[in-house]
This record gives sequence, C-alpha cells and structure tokens, in this order.
Amino acid sequence: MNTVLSRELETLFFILIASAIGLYAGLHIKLPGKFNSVPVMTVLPHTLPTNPTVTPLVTSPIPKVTTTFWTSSDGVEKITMKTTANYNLSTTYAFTLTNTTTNIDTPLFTQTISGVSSMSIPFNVFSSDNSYFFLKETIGNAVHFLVFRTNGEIFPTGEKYLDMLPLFAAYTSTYAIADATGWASPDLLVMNTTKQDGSQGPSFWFEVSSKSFIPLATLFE
Amino acid sequence: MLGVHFFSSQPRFCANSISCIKDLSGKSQPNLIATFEGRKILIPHMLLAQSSLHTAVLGASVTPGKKHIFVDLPTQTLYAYQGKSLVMKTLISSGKWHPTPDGDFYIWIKLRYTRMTGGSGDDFYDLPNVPYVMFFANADVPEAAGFSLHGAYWHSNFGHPMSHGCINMRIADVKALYDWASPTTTGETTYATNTDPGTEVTIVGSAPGVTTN
Repeated sequence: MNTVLSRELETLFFILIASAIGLYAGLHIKLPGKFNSVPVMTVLPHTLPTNPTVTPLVTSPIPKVTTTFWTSSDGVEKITMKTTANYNLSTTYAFTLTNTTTNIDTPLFTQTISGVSSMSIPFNVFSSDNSYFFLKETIGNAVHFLVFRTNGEIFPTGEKYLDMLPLFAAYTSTYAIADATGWASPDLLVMNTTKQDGSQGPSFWFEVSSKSFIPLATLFE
Repeated sequence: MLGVHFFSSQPRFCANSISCIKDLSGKSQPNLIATFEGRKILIPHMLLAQSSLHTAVLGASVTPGKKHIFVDLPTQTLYAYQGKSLVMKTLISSGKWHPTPDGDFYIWIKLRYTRMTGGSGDDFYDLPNVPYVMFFANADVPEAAGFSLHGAYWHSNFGHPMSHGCINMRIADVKALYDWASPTTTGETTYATNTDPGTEVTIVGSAPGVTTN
C-alpha cells in the first residue's frame, strides 16, 4: 500500500514538474515560422548614429513657405516660384512652369542656396513669343541672369541654361552687367551695364540664339 | 460719330512721322510678319484667337464710378481707377524714340486690331495686328497725332520706354483695360459718342532718358 502510494506521489510529482517546465517553455520560448503568432520584425538602421548625444525635440516653427508666380504677356505661360525658408537659414527655391491653356505643369528645378543669396522672377520674365524666360539669382554681390528655354529642352550647345554673368565677363572686362530688364524682341534680352568706376555704361542686347552681345547706341533706361 | 468722316476720306492715313494708321476697320490681318528693331517677328497665334484669352473683369467688384486712367511716365506705371477704387496697376512702355505727350486726354476710338508702321532705317517698324488699341486725343494733341494705348507682342520690356510715342502694354493687361474702358466695345471698331464718351487718360511727367519736345 505504501509502495503504491509512493509511486502515485512520484507520478504526481513528475506531472507537476513536467507541467511547470511546459508552462515555462510556453511563456519564454518563441517558436519560428507560422507557429509564432507575434511577428518578429528586425529593423536594421540605414545609417548608424554618429552623435551619441540625445537630440532634443524640435520645437522650431514650421518652415515658412511662400509662393509667387508670374505670367507671360499673353497670359499663356506661368512660372511659379515656391520659396521655403529652412531652419539652417538657407532657402530652397522650386520653380514650375505651367501652360495655362493645357494646365500642364512642368517642374523646372529645385535649388537650395545660402541665406546671403536669393532668386527672383523678373517682371518681364518671358520673351515676347514665350520661347525663353530668365531668372535672377543674387549670390553675394554677384548677380546672375539665367536664360532658359520655355519648352524645357537644353540649348543646342548642351547647356540647361545660359548664365549671362560668365558669358559677359568673357566678352568684356570693361563693363559689368547692372541689370537685365526684359526682351527687345523674341530672342534679344536687354541689359544695362556699369563701367569699372561704377558709372553708367552702355546698354547691350544678348542674342540668345547666338549667345552673343550687341552693344547699343541708345540707353535702355 | 466722332472721327468717322475725318478718316473716311483718307484710307491711308499717316498720323505722324512715328505712327501710321493704315486701317480703322479693327480687323486682323493673318499671315503677316512684323518688323521691329530690324527683326522679323512672327505674330503669336494667340493674338488672333480673340476668345481664347481670358482676363479678369476689371471693376466688377467695386462701386460704380467714373473711370480714369493715369499714366506716370517717370515710373512707367499705369493706374486705372473706377471712382476711388484702383482696379489696375501695371508697368507700361512709353515713347523712347519719340516722347509720349503729357496732359489730359480722352479715348476717341477703340480698335480690336490695327497696323502700325513708321520710322526709317534701323528704326523702321511694321506691326500688323496691333491688339486692343485705344486712341486718345485732346485739343492740343489731335486725333491725327495717332497716340494710343495698345498691346505689344513684339517686345517684353515693360517698365522701360520702348515705343515710338504710344503706351505699350502687356497683352493680358491691355485686354482687361480695353474691355473695361469706355466707350463700351460694340465691335471691332468702337467710336466714342456723346452718350458713351471715352475714358479720360491723364499722362504726367517725363519718361526716363527721353527728352520731351
């Protein structure tokens, strides 16, 4: 009798031990594959952190975004400049062309430049036949006038745009571009200049098709 | 009607040495090529598609009042007022090769299109289909002088003197002004009348770099 009781106690003991081990295993061991009801996701960092310091939460205001646009003389072409003032004091300019008759938008380019530089749309941005447009970019004391083709194509000589500053500097060192005001005809951009002493120089035409400068007898003030 | 009989006997009326009005029919002349500053210029198709250019209706949201156009030559800026409300402000191009007269004028005729020729040598110009033309005059500057507000498709240098005496405007701007100004447009040619007089045009100052006569 004692022997039977002892074996029953041993059996019960082993059952309890086995149950305890099974319960432990069920709670702590995750089985792979379909048997695991909780998906295990492994995320590898794309870049390793280089700065071990804790980054505080960003509490700066939302970047200031302004949008300006201007249309061609006939109202057909529209150029839009979206300006974003960034946290690091740089500014991002994004330009888009829109044909108002087809409502087709064509992104032109996006450029981020430092705080001392700026870009703008001149009043007479489009040539009289809308073949070209030009933008003004000021970098420090240097003023660049950039001429683009409205159809988005590059120039036959391979440039995406023509920067008049280096072109004119290569043409003459006697005068410097003071301003580009608009278009005298479909491919003649009107430029005013200054002499080296800062006084007013002659006006020039920049002929886009030939990338040449034409000095003028009369001033275009 | 003002001006009808004066011009009807002169089918090839030349206003002055700088502007030549050849046609007061107001009709377009397709398939012509313009000449300006020694360049041949194709006339934009958009110009000849009258209904395809949509512009805002000036003065629609303001209190009715007297219409008055001011042109400030020193700043090359045009202002259009309806009563006390400014309904348009834009840059223009006034006379470079011949000064634009200053003074108070009235629009005496509106032409949907006209052809302007003049000049000589390097300054010769032949401009068919000049759009939205509003000729103005006064006692000192008669109708025959041929000064007007009109659109310019041959250049885009507004804000700077570029004309032979007239007031050049962007196409979209001049269409809006043409639709707004009196006399009320009734066709391709519209004369001012006693019952529908022309809008007053006041031009002040002198254009930069241009010597007045």
